[in-house]
Amino acid sequence: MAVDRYTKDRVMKGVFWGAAIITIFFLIVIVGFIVLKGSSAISWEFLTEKPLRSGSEGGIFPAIIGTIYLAGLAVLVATPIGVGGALYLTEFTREGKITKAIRFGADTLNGVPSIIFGLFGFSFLVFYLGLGISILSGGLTLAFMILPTIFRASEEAIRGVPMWDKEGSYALGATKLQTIWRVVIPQSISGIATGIILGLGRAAGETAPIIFTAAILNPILPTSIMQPTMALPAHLYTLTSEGISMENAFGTALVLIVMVLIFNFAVSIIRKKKSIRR
Amino acid sequence: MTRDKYIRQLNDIKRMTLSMGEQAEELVNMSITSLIDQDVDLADQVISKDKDIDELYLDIEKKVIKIIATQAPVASDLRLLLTVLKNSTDVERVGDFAEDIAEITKELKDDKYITELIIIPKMSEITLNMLRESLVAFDKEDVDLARKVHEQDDIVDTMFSRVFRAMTTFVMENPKNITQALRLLLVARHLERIADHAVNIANRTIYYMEGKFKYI
Amino acid sequence: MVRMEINNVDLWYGSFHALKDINMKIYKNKVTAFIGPSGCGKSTLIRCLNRMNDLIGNVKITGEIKLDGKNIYDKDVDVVKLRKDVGMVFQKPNPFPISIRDNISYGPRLHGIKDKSKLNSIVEENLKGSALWEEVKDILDQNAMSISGGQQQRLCIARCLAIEPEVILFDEPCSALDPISTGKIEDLILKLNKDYTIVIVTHNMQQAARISDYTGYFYLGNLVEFNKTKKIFTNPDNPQTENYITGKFG
Repeated sequence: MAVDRYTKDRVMKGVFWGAAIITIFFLIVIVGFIVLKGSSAISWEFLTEKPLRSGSEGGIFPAIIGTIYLAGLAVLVATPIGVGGALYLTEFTREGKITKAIRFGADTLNGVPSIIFGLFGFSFLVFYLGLGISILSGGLTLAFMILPTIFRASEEAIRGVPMWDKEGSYALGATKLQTIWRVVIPQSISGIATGIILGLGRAAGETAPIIFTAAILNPILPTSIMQPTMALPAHLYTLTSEGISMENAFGTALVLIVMVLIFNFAVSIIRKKKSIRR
Repeated sequence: MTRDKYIRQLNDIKRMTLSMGEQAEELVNMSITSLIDQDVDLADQVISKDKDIDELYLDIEKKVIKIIATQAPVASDLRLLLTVLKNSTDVERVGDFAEDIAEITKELKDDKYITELIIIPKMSEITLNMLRESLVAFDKEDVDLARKVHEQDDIVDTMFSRVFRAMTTFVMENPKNITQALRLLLVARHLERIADHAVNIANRTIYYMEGKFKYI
Repeated sequence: MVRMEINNVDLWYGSFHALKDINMKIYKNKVTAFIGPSGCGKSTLIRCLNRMNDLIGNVKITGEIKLDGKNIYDKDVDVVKLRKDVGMVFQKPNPFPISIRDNISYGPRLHGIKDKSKLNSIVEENLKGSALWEEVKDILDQNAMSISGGQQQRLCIARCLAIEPEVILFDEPCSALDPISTGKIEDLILKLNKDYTIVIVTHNMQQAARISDYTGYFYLGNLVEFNKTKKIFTNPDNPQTENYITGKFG
């Protein structure tokens, strides 16, 4: 059957359209499913009270707080290292074997399964360094995990600052530090912020790194970083695997998804604001 | 070579100037011949041909302006254009002098000459030689030849003085000779001026080649 | 009077010999133009004058470049101060993507001036100095990227003037601009010439002829001829120079 070019075009257009639809479809299905199943669990108490009876009743407040602590610590630790490393790579070195190696390392780290981070955190931080199951251990583990994300996003943003702006700064008598502080960082801040927020989202949602290093079932509100804590993903895992309450599990999932969606929304706003400027 | 069209324009205008010079040379020759032979027809030819030289001059001037406006000439190209412009002015004046001499021929057509013309033809010979050499020097860009032209100018000036004295004598001998004597003196004067213009042409060739102004 | 001296300067980018034994003087309060075909070394040389070539790796320089008698490549020279004394305006206008006011005050702020009213008067003074004040005085807080290319370049000039240099280097300042903007900048350069020593790299020979007092012709890393502009354009000594400026190659 001789099929002409235009028909082929239209068929392929249909195929691509179909692929796009299926993608969105799955997103809608998953989110919708969770919204459907979880919205019944959401209430003011759910969000503000401790879980009772192993989580089949009550709320998930400690888990929310715990997730905030863990993700917060992760970002606090990973950001200076990631941004600093990116600055070093772009401003203080020349493109060569070393820079390629560092970048390769970061990308590889990115691909390491999160459970391995969990194992590493467990044996090194919890035991070897004796930090125990704690927010510190969990936060640091998460930090290692999101470091590549922040590093790469920062590096791309910093590299994106045009040479002529930096030259202009140097030609006015600025030192390297002044140029970095007054020209490079302000112009790459949105890219860096994007990286941080993406990292934040990941840190909030990963289960494997924290179940060995920080998460517990005991619904206490931690008062120091050496203490363990509840966390949303871990709580979700427990509720489901122990069969405690599917409704609450979906509720927890809903909270988590809303968090992630808020983060991603923030990213797209930042991106839009940046593209208007230049 | 880049700028082919521009280079051709420069070469064209140089050739035009030289051709104009040749025509002026011929006119001077014809005018002196017409004077010696008292040939009125030849004189008329000279008068009408001078118009051709005038037209050629305007044409050259237009072309020079066009090249300056459109090609932004610098260095030796610029000097060449200035030289062409100035030389063609000099040549145009030479043509006018030839015409003036022809007019005098016509005015003297019915007269018998008070003397056999000896100095004037000699003057004309040297003057024409100077003119030719100045144009050849321009054409061949020969600075040494250009310098030689200047040397002959003194001879022409001396000859003019001799004509002056001769004419004075004739007038003193017989006041009725005055009109013819004055006219013949004018011819000698025109030849002396033609020689000056030849020197100008030679000097400007030296400027064109060496880039320095020097009126020797 | 001589402001800068370039003595026996050679420069290599890696193994490429980009500048070969350059010797010339830059005279005070005069405009010196560097002309020559692409890749001849004129941009490379001008960037040596404020050590911008330091920012590129793998560059080796021998010889000396003196500013007011002192070699700017000496170990004890403060490069930051050098760049304050020898300012630069680039080929592509490069204002920072911040307000016009902040662009001009960037330099003075770097060097410690904080007082707002002083900064404001610096902004006004230098915008006037670069013939841009009337056009932007009501939009000083607007982003510098919103004005036209020619205005941006004058902004960059004002920004450079704000650090009070003694020498201003212009690296093909008009090549990205239309003829009217070019004309305005040329007029500006002639005006600035009274108070500043100016060096300009240009592809446009007529521009060099119009505004410079001295011209250096570069070819393949060599300084072929350096002389008063009047001489170069009426009667150059070197036939290579003559061929370049009359446009006859090949």
